[in-house]
Amino acid sequence: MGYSAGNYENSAASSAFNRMASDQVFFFDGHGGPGFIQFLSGGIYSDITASNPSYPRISSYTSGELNDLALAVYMACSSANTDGNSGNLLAQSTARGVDTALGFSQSIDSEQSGYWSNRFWYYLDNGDSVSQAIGAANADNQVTYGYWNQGGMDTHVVQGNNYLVIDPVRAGY
Amino acid sequence: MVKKMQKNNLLKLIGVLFGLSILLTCTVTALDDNNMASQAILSPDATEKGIVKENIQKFTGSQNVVISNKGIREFPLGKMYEVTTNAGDRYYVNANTGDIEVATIHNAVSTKSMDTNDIARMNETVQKFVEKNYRNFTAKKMTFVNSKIIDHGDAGKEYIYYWNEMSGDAYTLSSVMVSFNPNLDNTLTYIGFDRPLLIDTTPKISQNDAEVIARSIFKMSSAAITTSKLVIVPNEENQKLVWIVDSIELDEKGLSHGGKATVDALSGKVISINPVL
Repeated sequence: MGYSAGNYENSAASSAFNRMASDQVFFFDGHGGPGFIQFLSGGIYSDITASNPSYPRISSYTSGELNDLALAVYMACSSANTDGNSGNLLAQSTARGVDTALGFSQSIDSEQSGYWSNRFWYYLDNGDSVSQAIGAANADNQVTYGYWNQGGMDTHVVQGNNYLVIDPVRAGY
Repeated sequence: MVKKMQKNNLLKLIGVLFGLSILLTCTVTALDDNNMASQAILSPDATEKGIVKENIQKFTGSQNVVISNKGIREFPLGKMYEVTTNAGDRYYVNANTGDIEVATIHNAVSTKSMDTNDIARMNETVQKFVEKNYRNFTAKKMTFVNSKIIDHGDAGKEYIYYWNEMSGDAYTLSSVMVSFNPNLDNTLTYIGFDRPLLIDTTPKISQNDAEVIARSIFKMSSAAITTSKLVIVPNEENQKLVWIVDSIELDEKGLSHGGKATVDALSGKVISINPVL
């Protein structure tokens, strides 16, 4: 796609959190819940939250500090939902400058999420907008797994610009 | 009198033979439909002109469509041509029959009448659209299963309508879904498959037993939220009857635990385990 990509496994939340302001595209694939995503490193769990003051939180970035981040994808169960303590990942992301934030409103299955991701990034790489890539990935997922076995991928939630295109390479506004 | 009876018998015989010939013709036709895997793949030329173009023209109601063939893709339900149009629409077309099986279209003329926020009022309009485009809708006795609205935030609300052919309690491979998003370029997605039923749909494993098996895999108690469906899935050239079972529990932090287990409805064997994220 033209970006300098890095793949980080077994990372602590703090290292991912510190990268966000310098990223153009942020993709998390793992466990999570309303208002948070969870990391596991060396057997220790850590979280990035939307606005929980006890943890690394997106709300601690100043408004506009995430302006370079064009697209943030939180591939985790219920990552689009709001929690009373942790807040809402999509709302805090866009409030701090992310152009488009994507999450899911229900539990999502690991196999379908992996397949869906591959198709989603494939379509983005072809120059499709976020909404086009989501629609095409959803259709591929349903054709492959069936209506009753979509794994929650049809519960995507977008906040921000649906028409964002990330290929050719760009940073956020 | 004798001659008249002989004439009547001859007419009856002709009638019986005629009836038999119709039956045989129908049987041959049915066999052709039911053995799609053995049918020849349509030539790529048929996609940009010929039957695929004709089907897309019928689907959209537009004659001014220019089609680009993006190649062939293989799914569990068979091979499909991926084609796009000059209007930015995308289709998967059955590579054997030319039937449109997946369509994503934007601002199509034929869908503008669906632009309403009332899901119940849209039902009749959507069904007419499906009856027009799903070839065997009446012959298959498709059952309306559900309609629902999914809120995608800034990506609008999606209205989803779903029909499935039922065999007893089992959902067969013949199904059709239409979703419509008035807030996102009037996007309409159609996914319809017409496949013959090849297997018996009586499970030997009960729904309750399948759910117990699934919960034991994820080490969950009966308090877990468990849902299951008896579904036919493709199995190479054949089909398999399975229970798809979801078992989910939330901890106090809001993390989901559990996942989906696919259980063979005849043997009880667990075919796949798919934990949630």
